[in-house]
Amino acid sequence: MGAVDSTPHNRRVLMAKTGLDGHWRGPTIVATALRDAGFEVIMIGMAKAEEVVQAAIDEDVDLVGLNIGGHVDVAVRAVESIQTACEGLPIFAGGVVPPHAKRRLEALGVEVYPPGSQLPEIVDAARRLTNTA
Amino acid sequence: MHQESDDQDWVTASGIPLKSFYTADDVPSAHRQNVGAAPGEPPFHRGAYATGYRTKPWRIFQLSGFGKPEDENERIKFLLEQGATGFLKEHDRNTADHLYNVDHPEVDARREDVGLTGAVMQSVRDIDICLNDLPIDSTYGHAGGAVVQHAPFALAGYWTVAKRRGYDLLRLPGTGQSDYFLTYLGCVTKQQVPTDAGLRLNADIIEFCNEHLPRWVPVSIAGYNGADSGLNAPQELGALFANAVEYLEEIKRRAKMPLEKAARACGGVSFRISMDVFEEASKLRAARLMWTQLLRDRYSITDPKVSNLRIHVVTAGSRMQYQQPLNNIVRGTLMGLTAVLGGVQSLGVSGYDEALSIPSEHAHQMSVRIQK
Amino acid sequence: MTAVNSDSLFGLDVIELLALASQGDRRALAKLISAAERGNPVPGIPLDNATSSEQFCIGVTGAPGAGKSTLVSALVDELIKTEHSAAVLAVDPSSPISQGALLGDRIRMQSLATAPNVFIRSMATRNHKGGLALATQTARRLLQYCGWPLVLIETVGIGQVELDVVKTADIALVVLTPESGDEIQANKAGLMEIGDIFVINKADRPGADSLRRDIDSMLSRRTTAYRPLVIETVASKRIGLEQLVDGIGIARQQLMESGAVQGRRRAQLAAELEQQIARDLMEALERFSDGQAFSELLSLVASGEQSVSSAAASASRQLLITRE
Repeated sequence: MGAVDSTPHNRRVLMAKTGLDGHWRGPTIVATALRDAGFEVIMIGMAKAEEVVQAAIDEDVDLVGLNIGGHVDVAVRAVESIQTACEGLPIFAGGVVPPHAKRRLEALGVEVYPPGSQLPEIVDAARRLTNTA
Repeated sequence: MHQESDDQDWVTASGIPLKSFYTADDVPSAHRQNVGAAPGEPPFHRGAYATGYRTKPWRIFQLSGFGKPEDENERIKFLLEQGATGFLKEHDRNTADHLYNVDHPEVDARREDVGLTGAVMQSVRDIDICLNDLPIDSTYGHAGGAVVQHAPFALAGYWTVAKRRGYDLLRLPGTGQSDYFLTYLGCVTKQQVPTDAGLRLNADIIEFCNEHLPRWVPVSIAGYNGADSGLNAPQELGALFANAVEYLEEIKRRAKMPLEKAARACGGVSFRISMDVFEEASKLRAARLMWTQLLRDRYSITDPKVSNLRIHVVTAGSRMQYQQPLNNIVRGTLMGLTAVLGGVQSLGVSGYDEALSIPSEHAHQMSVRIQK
Repeated sequence: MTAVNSDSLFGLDVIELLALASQGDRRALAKLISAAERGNPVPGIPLDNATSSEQFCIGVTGAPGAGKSTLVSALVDELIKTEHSAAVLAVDPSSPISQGALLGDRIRMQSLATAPNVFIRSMATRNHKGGLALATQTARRLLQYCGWPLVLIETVGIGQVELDVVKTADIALVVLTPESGDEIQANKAGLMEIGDIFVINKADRPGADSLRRDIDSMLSRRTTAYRPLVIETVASKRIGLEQLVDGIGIARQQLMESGAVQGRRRAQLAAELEQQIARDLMEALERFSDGQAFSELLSLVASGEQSVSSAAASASRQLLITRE
């Protein structure tokens, strides 16, 4: 138990969007890349903080990926809810995240991948965060 | 001496193979007859109008909107002062697209996002404020309602304001959108009206405008979200015209208005322009040709005033980079030029800060400057 | 940021997790389901009461594109008006190449996902033949043991593996659309045999009537006492859901009264028992093949002193005697 696997087999990642803006291409591209790297990806689309928390618990995920657009406070609320309910569950984020928002999220322990981040970088991060690197 | 050989396969962004040079012999035989056609003449590939930009420059048409209706009003005035020749009033996406009131739990959970992507307009009063002191009787305005389920509200609101100001609706210029690519493909909301209901709404709008607002462009099919979702140039063309055919078939089925009027109404469309200059400019030329052929071959419509496709372009936001955003000014210029080479009637250049946020005042100013 | 340990929650083991889960701890329950998915044993769950009428499991399957997730979402929404609660196991295929999966059923049920009496769990097939049915069985047992008597299992009926999952349920719903005509004719993968209720979803499309006729004609050739129901729905518009819930009630009652459900449960247990025996024997064989006795037999066969079949018979005797 707790041994490091060499592949992400059986590792589950939750992907959610904190905004209501409907853009889905970024999260889908990342989800597909993670799937191709061996992860099981549960996508819940646009979700409020409590929905993300419930999904993280019921699906027993190993990692949460948040797509963020818009105001950073919305994302911060989601992050704090997850961290309170699921202590130790890693979170990483992407989307339109201007530098000041990036800093705020990083201060909470979230790894942030703004536009221009490369997919291999994101996949490696997922591996590292789920102990399958 | 080592001779460099061009043995790579050169292709356009859409994968169309490119020869190293072309001659007159490369023109497909079916199109030879078109080569001599002047601008403003069918099949319009050289341009929708005979004298083109010499007499009528393209409309500088920038998307704008954030905050309160007062804020949007200010930005529209700024853009018009800077030289824009029309305006696009963007409604806040959280409320408008989903048809939520501001106190809906889904909106409240993301309250800080409200007003970031467009002005919050929940009533005619709000729309009136947004249009305060704007000469909407003579300025070409996009009423909002890019999302199919929102369009009836946005349009009815705009027209109500115009009517209350005493303007003659029969002469009111402007456009709606009500776009399937956006609604069902690009920015899919949590719930949408089913596609068959959307078709009904759009046909209703086309018929209504035919009767009450003949100068208004009722709907505008926009390939942008198709292209940004992965359609290449030929696919964007095909999908856009397939959409047009659906509208025309529905109008034909209802038999309540002349099909030619509907074709003219549907002939104001919008494409995305990305970075492959020659392919994208050619795409617009091909679009005009396709529309002429489609109307003639399917519907026996040959009136040049109906067959000349009018095109608006929005440059690809996805090509604007997060790093070193000022370089995006160059990208915007290049894509804007491509659109102009393609003969557009109106153009919106993405803000250089596209990857970071909605356009700042400076970015908006730049977008207008680039076009001037 | 360290990843949370797989089989433990704050360092608890399976037994402790089960104690917590049975008292209503959802997080512990979720972790146990993960253990079941990995094929780890979860000792201590009482075996099903094969005759229980309170606990019930509905399997839902059909071709891709039939709108199953939308239907299940609307169905659960309707069911929880009268049922205590509902749990959904939504199974999607793992990529045979990467072993990863996109689990996209939950998103279609998002409107229910935070209701306190609904539990949704996405599961990937994980390409372990036969093991999937066991994993879903264990997950179902966990759910039912921990206070979720009604469980729906949703799969895509494209392969034998997925059909085997649906067969573990008490009744099976097969979801079709008016375009499914060919599938009926071809009787793809035994879809037609397993259905207790046939749902024609997207029934507002042309062809619904002729599909109903096709299904009726196929069913009329059946000789079983229970006649499967055919119900039309348009799940996206919430049409036909009340009739579907009524139909499920009828099927449930009739098949419990006739003893059919109990028979299926017993048959499933028998299959599980057989599978477990087979697994144990295989493991024993693997150990044996690595051992001295096997090498000796092999030498005898290679030198012609013993035939393969008599060597094998000798090995089998040894295996059965020496098995732990």
